[in-house]
Amino acid sequence: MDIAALTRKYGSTVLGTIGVALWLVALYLLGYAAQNSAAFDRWLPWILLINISGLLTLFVLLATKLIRLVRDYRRHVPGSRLKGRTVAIFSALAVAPILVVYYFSLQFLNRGIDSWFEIEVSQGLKDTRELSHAALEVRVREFLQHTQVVAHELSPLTDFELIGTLDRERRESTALEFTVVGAQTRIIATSSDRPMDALPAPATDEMMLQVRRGRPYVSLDTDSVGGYVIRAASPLEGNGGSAARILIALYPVPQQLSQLADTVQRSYTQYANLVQLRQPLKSTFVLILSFVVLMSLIAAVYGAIFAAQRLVQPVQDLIAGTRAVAKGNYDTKLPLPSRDELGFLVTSFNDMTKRLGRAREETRRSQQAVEAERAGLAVILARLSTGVVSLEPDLTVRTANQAASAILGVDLEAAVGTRFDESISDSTLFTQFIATVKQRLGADQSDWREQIELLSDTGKRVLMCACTALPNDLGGAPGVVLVFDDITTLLQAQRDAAWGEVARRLAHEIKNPLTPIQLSAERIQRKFSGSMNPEDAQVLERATHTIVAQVEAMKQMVNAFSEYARAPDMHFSRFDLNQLITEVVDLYRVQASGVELKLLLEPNLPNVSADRIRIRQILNNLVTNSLEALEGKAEPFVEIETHVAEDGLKQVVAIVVTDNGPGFHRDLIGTIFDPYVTSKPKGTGLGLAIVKKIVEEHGGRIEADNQRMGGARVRILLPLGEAARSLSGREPRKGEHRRERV
Amino acid sequence: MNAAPWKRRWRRSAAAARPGAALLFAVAVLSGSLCAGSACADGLEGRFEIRSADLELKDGVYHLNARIDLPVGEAVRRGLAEGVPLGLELDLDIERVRQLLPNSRVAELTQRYHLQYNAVSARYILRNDNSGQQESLGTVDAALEQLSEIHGLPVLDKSLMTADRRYEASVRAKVDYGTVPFSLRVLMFWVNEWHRESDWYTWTLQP
Repeated sequence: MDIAALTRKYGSTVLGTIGVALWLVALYLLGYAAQNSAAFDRWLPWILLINISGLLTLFVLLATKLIRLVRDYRRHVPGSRLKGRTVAIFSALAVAPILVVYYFSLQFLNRGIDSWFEIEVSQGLKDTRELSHAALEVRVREFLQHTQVVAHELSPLTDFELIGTLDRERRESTALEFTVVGAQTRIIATSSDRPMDALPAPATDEMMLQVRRGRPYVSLDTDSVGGYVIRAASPLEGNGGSAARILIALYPVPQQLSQLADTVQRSYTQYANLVQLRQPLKSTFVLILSFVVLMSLIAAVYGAIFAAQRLVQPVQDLIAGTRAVAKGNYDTKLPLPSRDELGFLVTSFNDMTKRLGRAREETRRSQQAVEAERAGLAVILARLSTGVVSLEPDLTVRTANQAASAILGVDLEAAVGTRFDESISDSTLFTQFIATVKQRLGADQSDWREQIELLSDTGKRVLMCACTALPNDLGGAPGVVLVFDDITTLLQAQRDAAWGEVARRLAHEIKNPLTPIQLSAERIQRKFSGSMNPEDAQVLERATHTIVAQVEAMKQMVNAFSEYARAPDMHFSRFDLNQLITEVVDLYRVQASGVELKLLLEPNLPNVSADRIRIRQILNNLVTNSLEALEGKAEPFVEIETHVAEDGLKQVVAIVVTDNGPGFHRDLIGTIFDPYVTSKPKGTGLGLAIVKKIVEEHGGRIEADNQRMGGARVRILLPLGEAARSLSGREPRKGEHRRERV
Repeated sequence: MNAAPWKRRWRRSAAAARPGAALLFAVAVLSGSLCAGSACADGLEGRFEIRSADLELKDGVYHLNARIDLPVGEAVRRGLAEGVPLGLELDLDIERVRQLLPNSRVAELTQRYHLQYNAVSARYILRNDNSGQQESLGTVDAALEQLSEIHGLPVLDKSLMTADRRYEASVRAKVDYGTVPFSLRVLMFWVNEWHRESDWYTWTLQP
């Protein structure tokens, strides 16, 4: 780790430690300086500055922490209330003892300082002073008397005589100095035992004033070196003039007495200073004590906040982690605070989130798999030709596929979420289907299979429906799933196949003997008609004619069967359907002059790819059927319409042939395309069957129904383009595909 | 009569530019502002000022004569009688006035006096700390009167001054009551019972 990283990591800690240490030292020195000022006079401002800076720093830190704490508390930050309570408790625990100690310290401080100034001490000092004063007073009076005696002796002397006498008088006494001053305190004569050390003691104004009033002057004074001297002054009598002379004498105080007096004076002065400093000292000590207590309080509260922060931080982390987990963030990993109980809790939390994350990942994968399965199933259901509808127990549609909607003729996918039986639809198929299903479900039959025959406007529809109960893990009533398939076409195909087989067998078994029968009948007539009498010959002729006619009829019938049953031999070509229709209709305009033949042909109808001959046959059959049905009808008409239409995903050409005849019989409408189904007395019942067969060979679809205003309607849907052949199930042979010349 | 205010401020700032003096100055400013906000209860009753001052030329030497108003209250008199000392410091500055430049200092003098009661002799001792001379006075009034009157204090030789120049002389007095330790004064900076300073008394001097 480089120095910069170390500085970043430990720099603040080191600086903080140095600051705290410096502050503590300054705090100690502050208390020490209050008692020993001389040693710290120079540093005291810096000591004060450090202490005040420390206090301000602590105060700012504390204020910052408190502001943040209050802000978090108001914002309901997780853990702030616990932190606030912890801080309050810690602060109370720390502050209460400090305040108690502070109170008693104040008491001790005041009483301790007051005890320094007990009245006994003060009185003792005063008594000492009085004692010293009394001890010196005797000596002072003695020296004053001596001064007065000397002054009396010197009074008669002239100024000149004084010089010698004064020195003798001083030597005979213990005086340090004799000085005689005259007017203006002019020195007349002086004598000193230390003439080289100092000038004669000057006469003070006080001294002169008192002496001139006629009173002797004496005082105990201190000299410049700290010793005591007695100064006395007495006027010299005699001259009485304005220039009165005064003797000033200076007497020594014994050294021992002087030292004692000096000690007393020093003690007295010190005590006076102490008395003077009594209140300031108390204030100073109280100030320092308060300062220390204040800093201790701030430090204690700050420490309480710090400790609470350390204590609550893991809890806050846990709360934040819990919220993150609640929001689905399982990647939350809390820092490990310590290896105590909280650390164990955090470790457990981290383990829990790790497991939750793993479980969520597994769940997500499972869900994805289920979704993929569901999507695949939805695709399968959508592509199924079988209708699938799942219902809730209350018949609410849960799911439905496209095939179900197509089969039942109603948009069941849009009905998801609504009740199955309340779906609004005009489809008669759907109405009949619901009735059947409700009947079975109402009988508490949840697993059944049934072939349901439904009548629609376009004929009979047969559905193979199976119902199965859905599993319900929650234990409630199970839903059901209906699976149904439109097997109408299948049944029709089966029926067509059966009829084809019948026709083929009939053509094979019946057609073969018909020719010998016809030939035999014609031979009988030729052989025996000449030899018979006319009456018998006429009978024979009628009989053989009948036989031949019926055989011919049977041949036609067998041929028709043969036509129905023969394998398709298609010759596809692309031609204009409208032109073909016009040609066919023009043929009938001559024959059926009483019937109006209407053409509603779409001008831009694309060419169709089909077998032109067979399409012509279809048109012939349909027009013939309509014309036969219109016999005896007033204002008969046949209308042929063409247009492009959509049939599912295919684009088709629709040929709609309508008339205003009696229409199809209601009972026959479901089987109108079956062989031998006809309402005409002379019909073979194969016309519409052949039409349907040809349409299906082209991959198309045919519908027949009655119009509301009366009359039949046949609707043929032929696929456009190459789809016709692919749907017809066979490819054209080489060279088969040709564009027919029209 | 008075010097330009900015020069006065500059001189005071220069005097304060000593080690640690900046902090003391800050503390003093703070204490001054605090004292200005509340009546300072020191021992003086009234305005402490230099009432008059002049320089008297005598025998080629300028002598200072000054009269100081020292309104000592009863509490201080009692304190003096009980042995609490009273110190007086007299600051004298003589500067040559210059037009564009700061004044140049010609002479600077600080005279200290010390007044204390001697309980043994029952006399008030007034001592000149500079010369060591002392005077014994019987009453506190006589002692204070003596302290308030500065007479004939030699301060400057006339030869140090130029005749055609103008000079400014300033006098300021400081009084200290008691022997309060420096630390106590700093710690109790808002209690100014022990120290007082007068304003500068300034006059023009033409040799």
